[in-house]
Amino acid sequence: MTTFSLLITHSPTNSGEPYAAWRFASSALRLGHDISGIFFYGEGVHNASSLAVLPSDEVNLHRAWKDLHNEYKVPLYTCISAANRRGVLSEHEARDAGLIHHNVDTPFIVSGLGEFFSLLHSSDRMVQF
Amino acid sequence: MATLHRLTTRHPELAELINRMCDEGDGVLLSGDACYHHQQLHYIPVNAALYALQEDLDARAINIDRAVYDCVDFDGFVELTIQYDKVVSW
Repeated sequence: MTTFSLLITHSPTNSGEPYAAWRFASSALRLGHDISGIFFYGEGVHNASSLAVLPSDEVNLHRAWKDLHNEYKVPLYTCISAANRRGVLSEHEARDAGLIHHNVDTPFIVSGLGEFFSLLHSSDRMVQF
Repeated sequence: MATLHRLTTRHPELAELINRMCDEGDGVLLSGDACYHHQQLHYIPVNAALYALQEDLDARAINIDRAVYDCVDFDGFVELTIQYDKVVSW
């Protein structure tokens, strides 16, 4: 069994990379491998936004990541500084900024780059998408 | 240390970049729009194994030379990342 971690740096609306990451993660887990965590960085933080409304015939990656977490308990981390500057906010961050809306909720965890390096060291392979 | 180079986008100098990046024993996996470069990579001099993601070829109606490329699905992609020591996405 191999332990993977994934780094996702693209938005689901302007790249096929997050979809490829989700397919890769689904395959790896189904094959019996482990994923120590998925880190959303840069434009990738848009995967964590719960306010994207997609046509019904398109894959809703936000929901797909949540389903993956619910089935396999894969931790989903978003970089706090990358997320805040893009308006991707948890309830706590929104309240701190005096804003009334937020779009990040569980199971996405708002964290920092330290978490990314921790994932890097706790996995056999890091794959960037 | 063998590296799997995962190419994801179109780039006008891709073949030249591959020659510069690849060492003996490395692998090159075409995915996404990088699949459009499949014919250019026939002629790279380095001894790298060539792979392509079948689903991305199908999405672009690309008929690839299977004598040159080993076509994989996502399960095969996962296995390639284990087979090589590290994965770099370009």
